[in-house]
This record gives sequence, C-alpha cells and structure tokens, in this order.
Amino acid sequence: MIISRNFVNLVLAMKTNQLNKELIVESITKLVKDKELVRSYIKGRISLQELKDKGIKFARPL
Amino acid sequence: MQDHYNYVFDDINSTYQFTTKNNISYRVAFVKDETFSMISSLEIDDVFQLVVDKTSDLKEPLDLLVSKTIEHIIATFFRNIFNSLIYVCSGESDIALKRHKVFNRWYSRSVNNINIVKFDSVIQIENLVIGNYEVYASYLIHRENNNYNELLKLFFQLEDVLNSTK
Repeated sequence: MIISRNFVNLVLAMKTNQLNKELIVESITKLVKDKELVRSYIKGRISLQELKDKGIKFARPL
Repeated sequence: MQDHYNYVFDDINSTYQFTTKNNISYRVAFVKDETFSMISSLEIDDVFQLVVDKTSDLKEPLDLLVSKTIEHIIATFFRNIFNSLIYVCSGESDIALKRHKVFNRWYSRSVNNINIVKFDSVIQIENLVIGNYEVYASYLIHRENNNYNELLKLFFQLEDVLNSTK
C-alpha cells in the first residue's frame, strides 16, 4: 500500500492539535490488552472465538 | 546443521508454530494492528503486532535455535517491505523492562538489522484505576518501506502527544 506523503502530512498537521491524550491512551491500552489476550489464547486460557469477539484479528503475512 | 526450527502456520489456531528439541511448543502470532489508523484516521494496513509465547509454562533450557527461528520468521515477514511490526512490553515495570531488554538484545544480534530498522519509545500511561505504568514499545520497519517517514511520525506521535500534554 502506498500512502501519498503530502496527504499524510496534511492529515497529520490537521490532526496534531486535535489528537487528545485520551485517544492515544485508548489506542495504547488496546495494544497492551490485545497482547495479553493473545498470550492467554496461546496458553489455552481463552478461545479463538473470545479473541474474535474482542475484535482481535490474526493475520498470515508470511 | 539446521539453523532454525521448522515452523508451520496452523490454520486452526491461526498462528505460526514450532516445537523445540526439548518438546516445548511456541506460537507466533501476527495481530492486525489499528493503532496508527486510530490516531491518524487513515486506513493504514500492513502494521501488525507481534506476539510470541510458549504454549505452556514449562521452563525452556537455553536454546539458541528459538531466537534464530523467530528471526527467520521476522525476516520472512519483511520480504514484503510494506509490512511493519509493533512489539510492546508492559506490566510490572521491572518485568516489562527486562522483556524489552531481551528483545533489544535479540535485535542487536540479528543479521537482518541493517534492512530492518528498530525504533524504541517509552510511553507513560496514567491510569487512575490501576495506577500509572510504562509501555516499552518497539517499532520495526523495512528501510525501503515507501511510507517510512510517515509511519515513523505516527509511531513517535504516540510518545510525543502524551509527553506534551503533561
């Protein structure tokens, strides 16, 4: 996927002031939570369906 | 002599997996990550979160082939230069830092660290419920990724925005 550099710069410039701490905290918290859920799944503590229900999508990039 | 364990994608578990000579099974998951999309409101594909773990809590004796296998998986992942990877460590600060250091050590020894570049960020999260904590985030990106600068900006924005609003 190629993203236009100018477009990204423009969006970033517009967004920089709008971005609030809550949104960043929310996205990082999700990142951390997703990892913990996937580790629980690998250990067999929760099911694949539970991960899917929480919006976690596995990929097969290789 | 084999320089890494053979690994396969398990269609049922949706993860890559391999078993060591000590009969310990590892799984490697690539999770589609939407962090960059969330903060930019752009649809940014090809960013994944890497999660690696053993299927059991058995202690693994030192086995260099484990890190070599993960290295091989990541090198294969980066054959698509548009792919990039987020790796986070969090939890109790000493454990998170320890895991982050292990990942750093792995990366510095990797033969692929010329084309695959790693950036680190320590992000302070303030949480009134569970208390403040740190997230050690690493971002791996191919040097020839056409969106290199834009993606890096997004990665560092995570840390910048939080620090600037303190």
